[in-house]
Amino acid sequence: MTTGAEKGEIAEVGSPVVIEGDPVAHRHPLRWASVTIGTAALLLALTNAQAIAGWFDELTPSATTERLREPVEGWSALTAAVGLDAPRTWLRGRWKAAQAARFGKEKPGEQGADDAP
Amino acid sequence: MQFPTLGFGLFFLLVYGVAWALKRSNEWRKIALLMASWFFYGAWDGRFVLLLFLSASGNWAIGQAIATRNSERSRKALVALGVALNLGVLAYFKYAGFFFEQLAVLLHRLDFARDVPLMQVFLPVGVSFFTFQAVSYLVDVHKRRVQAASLLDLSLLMSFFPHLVAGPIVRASDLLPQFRQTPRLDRGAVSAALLLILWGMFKKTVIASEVATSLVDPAFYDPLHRSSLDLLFGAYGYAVQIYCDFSAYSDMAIGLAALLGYHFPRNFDQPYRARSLQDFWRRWHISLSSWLRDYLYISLGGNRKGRVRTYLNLFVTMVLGGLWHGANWTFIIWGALHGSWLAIERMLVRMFKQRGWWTPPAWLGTLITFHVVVLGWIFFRAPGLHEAIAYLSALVAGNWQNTLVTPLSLALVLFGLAIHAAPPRGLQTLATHVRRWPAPAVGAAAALLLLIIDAMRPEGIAPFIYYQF
Repeated sequence: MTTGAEKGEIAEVGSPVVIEGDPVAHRHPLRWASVTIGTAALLLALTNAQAIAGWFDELTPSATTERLREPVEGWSALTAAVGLDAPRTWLRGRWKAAQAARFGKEKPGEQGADDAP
Repeated sequence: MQFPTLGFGLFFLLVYGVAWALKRSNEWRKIALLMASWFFYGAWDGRFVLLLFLSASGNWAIGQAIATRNSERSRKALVALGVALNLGVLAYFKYAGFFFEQLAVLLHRLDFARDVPLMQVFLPVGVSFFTFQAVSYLVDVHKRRVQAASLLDLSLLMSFFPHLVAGPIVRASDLLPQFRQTPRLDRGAVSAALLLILWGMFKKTVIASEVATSLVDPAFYDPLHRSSLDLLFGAYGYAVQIYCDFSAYSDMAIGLAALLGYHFPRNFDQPYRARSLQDFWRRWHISLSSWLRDYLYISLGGNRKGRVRTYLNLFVTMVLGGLWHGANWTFIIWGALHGSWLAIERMLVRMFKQRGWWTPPAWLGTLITFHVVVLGWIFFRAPGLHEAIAYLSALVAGNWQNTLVTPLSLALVLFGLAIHAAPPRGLQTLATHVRRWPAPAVGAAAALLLLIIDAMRPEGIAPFIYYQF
């Protein structure tokens, strides 16, 4: 018998979420985790409302989606008007520029390059 | 429903809230997680949920029967029946089409080509993973390594959504003891979980997606119209893509489970820094390689029956490991290549030691191992054997003009390889610092990183590579 089969793999290879003990680790961990997740969700709702609207557009239309469409699009427009989407837009622009950069005449399209060897 | 999507994010927020709201009753908590897992699985196809339920129920009944029998003979017969049934399900869904296709080819050559039925079997997502989990459960109950589980615990073990569709193959001995008590969080685990989820999202949506669309897919789509340089980088790119894709899924699965209070084992450990192929398999898809070792290689006799038999066992184990990925000659060749090289490696190590020859430096071992792995990936990625051979022929044609590699794809490939030179356990070290930060600061940092990742992601995310297995 091997260690893995006897005691489970965690005993053999470890788990990346097992972190050495520390007194702070047990100080209201659920509250700490929930506030962290809640804060991240709230900030993303403010700065990345476009993504929510984009995702919403891809949903299969139904009575529920139609009811929610106006508030979702309104929220996206509001955050854009205030400029909260500016950081994402700027980052996206830099990323697109990096994608467009070339060493020479390379053509990373689906088809083989026309002037390929 | 894919992990790095907003739909899944909302689903997970709901599951997280409900699971922790029910922490006073572990049974109700597990029922809620089971329902959520079935909902998650049903998002692909409702029929899959029925298959999963039937598989869990059947394995539970056989497990109970094994546990209550005293006669070793009947226990053995039951475990053999259970393993055969599980493998039968797997064989039907994964190999029936391939079998009839090969039969048709054979009959065609013998002029009997007319009446072979064309089988189009729809492959349930993740069937290979939950079937292997079930097999290991039955064997472990038979060997008295684990107690027989309740129907609820076994169903949740096999269905738990973080690992359901692409692993890791979490053993009963790891998860059942955790299911028996209400889980508790700690800030260290939460920090590590959040870092794993963010790191996984970056690897999948930025590195794997970009390298796939700009480099790997064009290289493999039309290798005859690409230069050797393009194809060399295409192959390196695929090595990076498959690592960043598959390890990303594992990272996110481990992170999501940890936020619900459960610990999964490590599944990847910087595999491309391996100094030998044996070392590679201790670092790549660890849950599959250790499963194959414990339930197949050792059952075949392992290294206990002499040298030749050891080499043969390694070869057979890896070929079957290749076949586990799917019914295609390319996977069989991939497995055979790994099996042969593992055997050659053992032979060479033995010969070098016995004769007191020069010990090769570690970097040379890493370089050779990486290129053996890359050669295997060409077969793994190519749609068929002819395409793989065409790729290899064009790769050695000797034209070094660049028609494909862009600055961004090169940077991402180099970054994907450089990850392997980073200090081991860096993420866990970072988590020890993050757990001391105030929650709003951690949340703000996570939001900022997610925003950056989202700005770099493509419009649509391709499914994880291992969904097809």
